[in-house]
Amino acid sequence: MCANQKYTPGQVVWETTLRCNLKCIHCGSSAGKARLNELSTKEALQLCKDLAVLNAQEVCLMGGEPFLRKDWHIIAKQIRDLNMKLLVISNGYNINKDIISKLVDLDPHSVSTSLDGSTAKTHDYIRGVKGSFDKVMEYISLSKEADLPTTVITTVSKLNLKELPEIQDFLLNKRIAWQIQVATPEGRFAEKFALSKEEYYSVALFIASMKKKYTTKEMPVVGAHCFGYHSQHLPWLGLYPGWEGCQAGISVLSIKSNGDVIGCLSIPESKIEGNIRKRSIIDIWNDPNTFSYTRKFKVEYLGENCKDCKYGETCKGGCTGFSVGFTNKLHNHPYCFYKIEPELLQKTK
Amino acid sequence: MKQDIIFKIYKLGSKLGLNKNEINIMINKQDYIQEQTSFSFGPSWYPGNRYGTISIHDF
Repeated sequence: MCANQKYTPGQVVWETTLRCNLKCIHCGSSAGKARLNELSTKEALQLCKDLAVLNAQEVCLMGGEPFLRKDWHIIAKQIRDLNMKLLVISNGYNINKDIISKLVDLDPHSVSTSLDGSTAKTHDYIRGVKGSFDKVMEYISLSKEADLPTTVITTVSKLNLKELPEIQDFLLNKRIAWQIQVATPEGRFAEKFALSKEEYYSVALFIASMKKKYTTKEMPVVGAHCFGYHSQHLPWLGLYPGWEGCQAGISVLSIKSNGDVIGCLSIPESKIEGNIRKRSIIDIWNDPNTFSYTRKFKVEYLGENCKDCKYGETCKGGCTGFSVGFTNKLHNHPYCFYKIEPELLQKTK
Repeated sequence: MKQDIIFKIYKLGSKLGLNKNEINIMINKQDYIQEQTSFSFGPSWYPGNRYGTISIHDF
């Protein structure tokens, strides 16, 4: 860790390539073709070393589809050799026993994949490629067989909302972590498929209900950071209690496949803080003038949805990516529990 | 109008396997927050951002 370092990147989320073999309706990155000038193996390995200098705790490789990079396991091994935890998010489409074998050798902290429907019809429609459901089920099965720490991520929209109970039935008692998140209007995702606030709150109730009914051994489930905040009725749906604002640039650091550095991959490119080809990630991270929207947050930044809220100073307007996706503004979460509960629930008292 | 909205929540909840009584308990019982199974501690940062992932080891 550097002498002048004020913040530690808990999780680094690294888009290793934008190349993807699926065409997901909700893809916020509009993945498909690789970016021009994606980082070389040599550059990627140096980046790993720099992340270790920053004392990064976890490095999450994602895409696009990370397994489409031929050197993915070389980068992954470097992460492990530098004593950082390795997480990999894949769509599972080109999974094979060789990849599973390499993953086992890497001893990852998490092997995550996306399951967006309980049926092939729904999952394949959302993922844009026929057969993707069968492949992801095979991936989950091979991953569990190999005793890899497996996580399923479900991105909820109007297209799959009603299939959550069946996905729950599939995951129950399998020791598979389940992260539920909400598709937001960005990239390829059309607003017409986005959840209404009533639908959003129903998903929150569904997650809260699971947390109540099951132990974490039976159903280790969380709502991602897009669910919150300061509910007067529901428990915190995330992993650990409390919400102290968007962590982009505070404990979360993201890197695009061309070396661009940004707090979170779901926020606008206008918030890119630099490129590692021009300046090391150590310098970018430790620059007192970067990531000012979270590090130097002021209540004046709050949008109309959050203005005058008593939690505004610490909440900072909820998940930045969700806020931008739905309102085109930072610090302006439109479906915040604290804001929508009085409107949705008043008549039940 | 508000009655329509909560009816919508009940209807949506029923599609997710939640009955009206269960929803009412969740949203009206004051100690529900305290009863839920969760964690009382964690790292100084919290996994679960939309572009990242959690691990089964986090539970």
